[in-house]
Amino acid sequence: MVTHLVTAEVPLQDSPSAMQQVIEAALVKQGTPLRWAVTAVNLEQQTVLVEAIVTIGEVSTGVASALVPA
Amino acid sequence: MSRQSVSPPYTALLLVPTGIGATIGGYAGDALPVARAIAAMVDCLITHPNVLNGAHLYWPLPNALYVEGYGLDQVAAGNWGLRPVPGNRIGLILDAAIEPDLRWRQLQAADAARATLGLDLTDYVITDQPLGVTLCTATSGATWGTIANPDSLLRAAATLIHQVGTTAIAVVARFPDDEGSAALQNYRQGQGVDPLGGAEAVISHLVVRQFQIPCAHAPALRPLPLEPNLAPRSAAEELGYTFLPCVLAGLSRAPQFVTQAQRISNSAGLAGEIWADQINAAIVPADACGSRALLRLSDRTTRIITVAENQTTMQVTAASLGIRAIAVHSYLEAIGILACDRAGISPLALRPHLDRIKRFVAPFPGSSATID
Repeated sequence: MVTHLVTAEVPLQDSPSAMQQVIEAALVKQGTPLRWAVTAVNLEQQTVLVEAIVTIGEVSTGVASALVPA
Repeated sequence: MSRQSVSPPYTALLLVPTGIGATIGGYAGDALPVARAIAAMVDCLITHPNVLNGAHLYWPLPNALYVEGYGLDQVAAGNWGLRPVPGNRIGLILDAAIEPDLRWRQLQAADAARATLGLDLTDYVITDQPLGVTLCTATSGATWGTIANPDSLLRAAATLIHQVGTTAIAVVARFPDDEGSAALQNYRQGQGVDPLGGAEAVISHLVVRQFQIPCAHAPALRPLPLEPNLAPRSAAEELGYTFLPCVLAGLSRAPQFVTQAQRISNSAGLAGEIWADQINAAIVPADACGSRALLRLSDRTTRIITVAENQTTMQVTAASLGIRAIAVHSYLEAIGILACDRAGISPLALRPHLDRIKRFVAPFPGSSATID
């Protein structure tokens, strides 16, 4: 798995719930959204800018970490 | 003050997102006084590590729930609930990139929390690879971060959960020292954006998403040279060698997450679980209304209160996203709104002028004229 900082510009929606759905649909094209926020709203263009961290790929199990007594 | 009440418990959510330069709460746990004041006003306060963590400084609030941001998103969406617990067994993950002397400082902080606070810590784990934290600032001015080896972090968490029985996880990752940078100098002056905040959130989000377990993060950094002109809002992070004590204190009683399938019916209030439909109010900075959690809560009956005085680098008001909110100038006013809401009083009644009641005009042909 890797983490990436991505941005997306999506159309402003009529309701917060629709806004959230459109944002997540846009982010899914770039990975699995981990953390995101709308960082700007352009009322003239009727768009919002979203910044996000997405993850790509599955978790690799690999070597287990060593336990150390507290 | 003792009061008997037949009202359901009043729950408020205080959000001050990290890494966006909030003038109150953007530094070293400096929204904690706000949290303390709100906690005194409500039955239950839900808030997050960025609000409550002040490195060596923290304040035990018996009616506050310490919930990391990914968990808050899920709670706001109604996917998860919060189940208060008497205590957690905290597992500690140390980044393999931490140098031996800094590692000792973290371990001594952990031992101090065990001996002086009586916290329950399990054995600790060192990641099998350096986590590789990278900091970045986006065009908005918000700080973010990426992790080069998230799998190593998640393997360490799996070891603690499955082999030791850890119920909450504290992560200490080695962060880049940026001594001399303009961003750090500004931060120490109580200005600008916390350069670490965004990356810290990514670390805890990864663990909570994967394991649905409370998690919080503290960075490992070289101590900075003495700065006599340090801003009070930043001072809590320069008291010692680690940022870990507040994280351990917060996690020690952080609520567990429960899914809809695990939901216990007929439970409400502090003795039971808390779900999104029990969050009466959410308080946020007025220009930072674009968070995932707030968008989700805005579809509910939660009263959203925006605070103009807490300015951030964001430019996202409630109105611009169609979120219905009560706009106030300060947290002092927000606390007044909470007091009114809890008491069932219209805040307008506390103002000197009150308009006469108006007749509702039905929006269809043939409706009667109004008497104004």
